[in-house]
Amino acid sequence: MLKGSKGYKVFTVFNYILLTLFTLMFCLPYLMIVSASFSDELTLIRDGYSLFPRGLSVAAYEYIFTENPLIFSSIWTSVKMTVIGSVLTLIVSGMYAYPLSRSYIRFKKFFNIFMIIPMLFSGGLIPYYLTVTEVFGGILYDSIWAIILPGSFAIWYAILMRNYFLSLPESLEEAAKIDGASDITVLWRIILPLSKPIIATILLYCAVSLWSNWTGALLFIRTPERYPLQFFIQQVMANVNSLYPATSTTLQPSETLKMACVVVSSLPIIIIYPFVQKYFVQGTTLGSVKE
Amino acid sequence: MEKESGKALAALPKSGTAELPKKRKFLPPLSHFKMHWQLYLMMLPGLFILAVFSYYPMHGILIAFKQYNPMVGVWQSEWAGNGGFENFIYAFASDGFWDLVANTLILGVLKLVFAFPSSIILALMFNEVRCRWFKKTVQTLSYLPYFISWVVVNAIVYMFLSTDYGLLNNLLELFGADPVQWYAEPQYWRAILTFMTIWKNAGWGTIVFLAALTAISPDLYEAASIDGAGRWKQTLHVSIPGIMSVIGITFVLNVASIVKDDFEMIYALVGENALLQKTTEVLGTWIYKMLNNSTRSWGDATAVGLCQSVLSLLLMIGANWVVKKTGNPSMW
Repeated sequence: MLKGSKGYKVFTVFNYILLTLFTLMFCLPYLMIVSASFSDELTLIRDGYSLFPRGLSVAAYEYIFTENPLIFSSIWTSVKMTVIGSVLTLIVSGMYAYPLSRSYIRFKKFFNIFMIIPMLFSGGLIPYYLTVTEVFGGILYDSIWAIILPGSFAIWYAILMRNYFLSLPESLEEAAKIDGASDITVLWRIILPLSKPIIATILLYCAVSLWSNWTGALLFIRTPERYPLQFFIQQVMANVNSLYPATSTTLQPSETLKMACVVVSSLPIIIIYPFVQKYFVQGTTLGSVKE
Repeated sequence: MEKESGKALAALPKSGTAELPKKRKFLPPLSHFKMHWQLYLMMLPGLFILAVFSYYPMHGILIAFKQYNPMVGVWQSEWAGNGGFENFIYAFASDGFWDLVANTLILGVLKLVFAFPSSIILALMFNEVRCRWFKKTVQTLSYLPYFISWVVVNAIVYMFLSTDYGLLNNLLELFGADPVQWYAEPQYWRAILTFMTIWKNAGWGTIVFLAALTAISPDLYEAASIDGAGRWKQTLHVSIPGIMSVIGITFVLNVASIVKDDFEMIYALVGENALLQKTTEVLGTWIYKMLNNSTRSWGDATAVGLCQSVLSLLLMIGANWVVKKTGNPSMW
């Protein structure tokens, strides 16, 4: 390669500068939100948002963690939804994916097509809304199960897992089969221990998408005490006064409070992200899937 | 490709235990089920969820052709007039409907034209970086926005655009320009929405292309440079053709977004702001509004949703056909 040439050098410098700018663009806004959340409310209102906190203050966080019961209940709801939903999705999707990866399964084509059709075509929002609110006698309505249960079969994750299982050599299974092991034993004792990377990846994908989910709550959850965190934050962003009792007259933090809520809602992801990044990335290449 | 690898693996255990898998294929159905009933049992929860939440709602499409009455349900409701197409006719003729369609299409095309190539360009830029720690840092940070919810992105947008406290207006004042009422001026929002889509997804989208780029043999670059190709020519004649197949597949997957609006994003960033409706009201947000309306408008909303589903399916099939015609591997 023409590494020494002048054009190449100019290009490289240019490339590095551009990429640095892009990277700043990707992460600076978040840092600014964090700094705004630690700002003093009056200073912020007077001077506007900035890169560094102006007039350091933790009033917003104090308010969140001492005076607002709704935030606590919504954090708890989100944690419940994320944990239960991720595990359930892994189990339901994985149990559908494993048989599809075996060469001896019958009706394989039917099962595959049955899974692919909903990916391409759906009834639309209103029939879906009707279904969720009416099946099981409407017990899903106004509960996090309206978000968890319909999402517990994730077609895309099932395809990822099927392809991963397919990439494990079938000879592994033969020895156990000769010893008389059943299909479940093979899955539990042989396949699962080898599938840790895909399990970690799928669990993380599910966790992130459930933690960030707010349209589900927009459609199906009506009681404020049952709001998941993201939807609660969305409400706060739309109308910060919904946080306060109507009777309060003292000046409460509003701008800084919005930002503090946002920080609280995204912090778990930002903190664990650097440690689990490789699992996210490997999800797109595991099992030789091209997006 | 999946099928091929499956076949390759099935052929793998030929040495030693070659007989077993073959024999099993010819088991009579009864003993096959006796042996493998657990496998079929495992699939039941998935089949159930799909049937209930993906297939059962499809009968609700009938609402599009009926005068929906919640008291008697979907099946018993009376058929709509005009051969069942009353809802379609009413929706298409209603005030401002075609503006919604135009908004949806414009936002969709902007997304396809700007957001889709942005990942490719970013991936090609990453590919030119030789310094490993720099590459790693830049990649990691560029993926991050993908994992943040639109609600948080909304806060970021608000921080920049808020009329009184926003950064952008502060900046404008610094240069002596007049502040802009961003949340009251619809003409900026197509650009803002497209920009935020790029901001959130461009980094993550590079992964597929980077995987394809690393698979290109270094010999090709070497041969090109011996022939006198510079970096630019190498990118043009080696890198881009090398990832063309991946570009094709992602294109097929993305093309349906022209008609399928991103409700989650638009509703998070714009919400119920009536001042911005002129450019940001799309079919998805309109259907959501109808959902909260009286059930009498559900027929129209379902009809519009149905058109959207069918169109996006057709677009996908069409794009797949084009990709296939140009000789690239396609979805099916």
